[in-house]
Amino acid sequence: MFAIIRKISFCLIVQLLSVGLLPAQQAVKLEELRCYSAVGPMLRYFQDPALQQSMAKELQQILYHERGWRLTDSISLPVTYPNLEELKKNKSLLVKDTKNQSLHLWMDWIEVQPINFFAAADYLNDSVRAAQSASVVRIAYYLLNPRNELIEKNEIDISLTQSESPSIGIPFKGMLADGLPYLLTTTARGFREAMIESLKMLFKKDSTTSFIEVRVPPAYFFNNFIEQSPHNKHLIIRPEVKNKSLRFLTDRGTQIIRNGETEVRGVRVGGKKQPGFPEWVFDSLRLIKRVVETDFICLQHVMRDVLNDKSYEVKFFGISNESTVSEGAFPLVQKRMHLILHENDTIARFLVQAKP
Amino acid sequence: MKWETNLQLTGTLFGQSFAIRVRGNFNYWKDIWLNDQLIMRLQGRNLPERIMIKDPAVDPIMMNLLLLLATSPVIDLL
Repeated sequence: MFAIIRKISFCLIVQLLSVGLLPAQQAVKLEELRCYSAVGPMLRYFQDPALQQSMAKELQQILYHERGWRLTDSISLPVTYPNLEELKKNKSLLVKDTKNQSLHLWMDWIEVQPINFFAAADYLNDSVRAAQSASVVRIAYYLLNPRNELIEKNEIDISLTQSESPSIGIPFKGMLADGLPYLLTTTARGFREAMIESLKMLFKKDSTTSFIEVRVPPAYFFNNFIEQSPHNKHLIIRPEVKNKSLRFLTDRGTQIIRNGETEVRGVRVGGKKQPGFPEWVFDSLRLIKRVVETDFICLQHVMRDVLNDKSYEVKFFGISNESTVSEGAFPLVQKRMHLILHENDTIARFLVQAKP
Repeated sequence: MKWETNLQLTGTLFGQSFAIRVRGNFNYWKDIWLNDQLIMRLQGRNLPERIMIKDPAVDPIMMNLLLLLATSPVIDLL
């Protein structure tokens, strides 16, 4: 009975495969993924193992979804970085393992300057589009069967335009140490997302698309070039400023903070200790005064954490003598005695150093 | 590119060590460290135009207090 069921199931699967209801899984071996950039280090994102693994997984899914192909290695990518001379040589695509029935795939990822790309591409010679583009990546693939015959090839050009981004830092242009001009077009995350969309277009069955534009977040110098986890990004927020208050949204909800106006107070006036200072402050200042004959002032203001209903007072202690008064500057006491008070409790003590 | 620290505040806040390093022209960059970990980076002259939160796990009260101190108007007087 069991044998009959197995036989029927097998016949059914064969029939479904023959009418195309079940995709046949053709194994594909990615032999080499060559990367070259005439623009900057963007393609070096592949050196991040986490990003490489994530891209391999995405490529596996795209190939399966679009073509029913299965990558023989969906964990890593055989990335190489040939130089320009090596790239110019016509690479011979040679299938070494001809006994295996797998297909063999080679891919080239080449990043070029937009000005060069658009000048050469007659059908796209558009100065506005060229000006908007930060870089152009051409992805090409070559598919060979086990008999070493080229059975399919295709390519797509991706113009990366930079979108408005709430990022932080300065644009990554010409920042590397070897003196060559470099531009890092986008972040690791932007690169990954743009390339996934492009690969979907490239491997789409009967696709006639040869050029697409993708908007990507720009990379800034403060962003880590090779991020440990390309899926995680730091929270970058643009606070709203209103009446000297900062309002911003974090994972923990809305926050509103405000610093009050700075006021100057004497610490001792007419030899009398002024209220509002912890006793140890007078002791510390007395020790300094024994060494250098001087007076002290306090620069202070209120700090308000509005929605958490917390008020603090920060006090910076400065030196006040004839020379500082005439210069209009009050150098801070170089001692760990500046403080923050909360309901008369000292919650912070700190030192302020110029050019430490 | 390396920006030298113009001003540094170091001390303890609620018993935890902190540092605020002020760098760049017009005190444009401020890095906030808590327990030797960079937790926030601010960009902007007086009030920050952008805040990068590197460690969102920090208690919001602590974070707000450090932000208030880093944006203190006294720092711009120094």
